[in-house]
Amino acid sequence: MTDPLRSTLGIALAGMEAQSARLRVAAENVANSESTGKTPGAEPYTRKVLTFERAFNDEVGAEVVRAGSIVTHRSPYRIEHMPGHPAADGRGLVKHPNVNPMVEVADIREANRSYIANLHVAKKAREIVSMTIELMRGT
Amino acid sequence: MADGGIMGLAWRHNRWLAERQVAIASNIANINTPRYQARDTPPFELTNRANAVHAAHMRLDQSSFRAFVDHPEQQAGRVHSGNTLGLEHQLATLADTHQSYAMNAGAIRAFHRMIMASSKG
Repeated sequence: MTDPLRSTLGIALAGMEAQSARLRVAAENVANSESTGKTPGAEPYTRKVLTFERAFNDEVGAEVVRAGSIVTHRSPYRIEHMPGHPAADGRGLVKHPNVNPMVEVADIREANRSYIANLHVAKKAREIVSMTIELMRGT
Repeated sequence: MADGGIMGLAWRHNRWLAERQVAIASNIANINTPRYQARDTPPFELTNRANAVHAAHMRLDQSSFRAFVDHPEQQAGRVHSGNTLGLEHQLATLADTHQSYAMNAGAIRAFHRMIMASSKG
């Protein structure tokens, strides 16, 4: 049977890794929020979304969270009338990414909050281990 | 004193607290996982009673520690994704677990010092 404190650390670490991946995807969306195509009528950057899934980790001995697949968001592109743009179609309309920077910033803040919570769990588990070692030292 | 007495009780409680931390860590790690149900260990009173049955054989019933239960009271807090977790509640439970562990460790240390002091005469 796996030591529960070791399992706790493994679970918290997996949570931090998943939130890091989420931050990376959100950062990519923000960086590409204005990335249009280069040829007339070309598709722009499409917003990416990271999914989370559960998986049993034999080393940890518990079910951990894992960053799943990165899928594209199905919301429509933003259309703007820019006749001189390289990506403008016959009507002068340019497709812009379906990325809302405010939504991404909110997602980043949420990922940050979850990352800190997982870090706090890892910290508390380490403190308990230290407490147990101190117990042996004190006696 | 087949069940270990006060120090045995404190040790078992710490074991239960460590298992509870696994449940809390799993809950916090899955804070954004859709349809994840909040988990918790059975109350210590139940696990301690189960262990008392086996105390004479000095063997713990490990299955009682690993019996995670859902949080029925958190069903009302189900969000759009199906997740029933509340981060603040989990962090508060984590702090409570940590504090209880510290108290038990202090109690074990104090009792051990008493035993050592009495054995020295």
